Amino acid sequence: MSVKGGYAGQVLEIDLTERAVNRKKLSPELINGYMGGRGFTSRLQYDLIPPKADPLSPENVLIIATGPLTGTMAPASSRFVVGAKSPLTGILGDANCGGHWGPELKHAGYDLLIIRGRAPRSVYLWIDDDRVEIRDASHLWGKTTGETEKLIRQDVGDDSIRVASIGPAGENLVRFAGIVADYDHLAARTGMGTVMGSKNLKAIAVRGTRGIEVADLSGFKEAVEQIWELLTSDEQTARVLPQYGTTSLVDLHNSLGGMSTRNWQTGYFDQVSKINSDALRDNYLLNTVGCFCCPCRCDRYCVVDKGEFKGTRVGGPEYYTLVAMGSKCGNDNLASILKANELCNNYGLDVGTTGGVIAFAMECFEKGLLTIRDTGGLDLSWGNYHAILQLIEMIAYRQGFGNTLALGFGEAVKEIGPESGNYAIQIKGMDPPTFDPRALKVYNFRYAVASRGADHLRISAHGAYELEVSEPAQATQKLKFWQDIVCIPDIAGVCKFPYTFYSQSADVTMKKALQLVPLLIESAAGVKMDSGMIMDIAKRVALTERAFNNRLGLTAEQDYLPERFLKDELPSGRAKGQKYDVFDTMKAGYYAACGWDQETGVPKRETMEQAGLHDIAEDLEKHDIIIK
Amino acid sequence: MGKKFMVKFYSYLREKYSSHSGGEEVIIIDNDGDYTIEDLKKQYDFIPGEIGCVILNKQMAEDDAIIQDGNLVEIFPFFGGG
Repeated sequence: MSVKGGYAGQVLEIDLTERAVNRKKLSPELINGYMGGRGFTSRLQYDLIPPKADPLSPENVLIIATGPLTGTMAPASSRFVVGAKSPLTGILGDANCGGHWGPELKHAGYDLLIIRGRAPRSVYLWIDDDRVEIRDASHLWGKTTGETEKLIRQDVGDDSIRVASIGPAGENLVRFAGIVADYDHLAARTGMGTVMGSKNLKAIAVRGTRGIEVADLSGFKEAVEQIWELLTSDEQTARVLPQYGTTSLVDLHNSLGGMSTRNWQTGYFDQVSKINSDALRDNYLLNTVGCFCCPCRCDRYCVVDKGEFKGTRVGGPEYYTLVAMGSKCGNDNLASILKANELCNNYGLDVGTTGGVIAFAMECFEKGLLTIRDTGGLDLSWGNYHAILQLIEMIAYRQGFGNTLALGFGEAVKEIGPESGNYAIQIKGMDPPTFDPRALKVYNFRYAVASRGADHLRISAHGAYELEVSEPAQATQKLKFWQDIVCIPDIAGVCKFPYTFYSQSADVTMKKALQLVPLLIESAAGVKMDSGMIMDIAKRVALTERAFNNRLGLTAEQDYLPERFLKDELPSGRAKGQKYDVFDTMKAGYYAACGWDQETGVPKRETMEQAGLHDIAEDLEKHDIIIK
Repeated sequence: MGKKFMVKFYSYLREKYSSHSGGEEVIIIDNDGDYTIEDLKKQYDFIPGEIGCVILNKQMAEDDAIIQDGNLVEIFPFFGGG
């Protein structure tokens, strides 16, 4: 099938070692097989990154992909995905980002950026429609992301450009550095900013002035109107998302007894009212902000105008931040959480993993595995927000004890000692987000099997509660179904929130994901697309990601939940007394639902062949991976 | 005799449906007939998409569950994702 719109049609390939810029036509096979966004990154990660490549070597490839709807007038069409081999986990890495940068890249004429090699000195890319320059970045190196964005705008002399950059954390190869776009939007997870830093690539600035053609304009407009009507009339997207963003989840998770508190020692934070959505709104919320073409405006913009942290201004926080820098560290000082968010954005750190490693260090301190002598004088008692803020800076610049945490959980455990491994709450090297699996067992099994380490966005269900009352076999089928559904926005280039789980009912989610998104794609690209075809692509993406990890040696053993969840009962809150006691049942059911072999964790041959992945199955065999 | 029970709203449902900061409301029903979760939902006239789950005396409850005198009904908003 040849596409007639939706896509810009070009791939921009940059070799930083050779200082070479090439343009290629976007491959029809890639479009047909993987659609875009996370689909593109998954396949190109498999094809382009040698299995033995060190994530920080020039061999690693940084892939930035938009989807066919990115930058179109489809609502919430802001998204782009960054993929590479992760320096945090050593397996598949990717991060998804909103804002305005992705649409600008598309408007400049590119669906995909593929960045190889390593520049001998620091550089930034300036993409101005057809003109692409690799520019010296020596004046930018060492600057925060905000400073970098301002300076590049001055360099270029155009305030309307879009910039994605790394901060000191990415430059210093902190393993969980993100890429910051439009000042406050992060491609946060799995260390994609670290990969950018390893390539001496400080930023990618873009100006795009082209439109995006669509094949059937009237059909496309009709589909846009339908989805716009749904988004602006649904309680979830018209009121809850704009009014609360994601911050209402703080109260909710705490009420359910699952809000990560003091490094997952309990699921109930008794000071929650000091850091919840009400406290944020009443004290610090200045405005709400929307990404490209989105009516939901779920981003918070907060200002601290009094007290110790006066002058803090930050795009955020998400609920995730309130937990990571709040309850997870025993911290009930909301202004300090906003300051921590601001610092992480400026230094280019994933606020989630940063909070995760700090909480880990705090528990080691509590248990006597770390002392003030080890931490360079920092008192890491729970809730000591001055220490938290200082430690964020020490991590970003890899100073003193900050350097111990900057390399992630594995290296920190080596440094602190084996006993500390009990308190490193991670899966495949990445920390789980906020919601304790002991409090919602079926839903949060997802952390064990997500392709990029403990993650909540690979499987997200509409109405997570109902899964809890399902029979395990049925529940795992449902998890697998939701895994495919929430992949659809990722490959189309739109936002998961309004297109999937923020809906008044599962029926509305189905209508958006399985009827309207295919209709948008079909009318934009001028190719046949329906619910079955888009679900097939989603399944293919998940299998390709799994195969990428299997080829690196990942087996069923790496699909686990930390011992704390399996052995320790929650000591307080609604889920008091609960431990994770359904793991084996869930794992067996999920593997069966996915068509993976129970023993090896590798997709079965028939599963791969049904998905049209004969070539990947053969390649796995060449790498001595057993396909049954 | 009738029945008297407590309804507790969580998260963003609190400010919309409760006059108390803790989100707790006492409901008194004057007649002795069965009063179900569905009846309660009708009484509050919830908007589609607001309610994620209802917990009756610590057990997840379906719409046909009958509320008894002295029960605690906890109402959580819908959520997905996080």
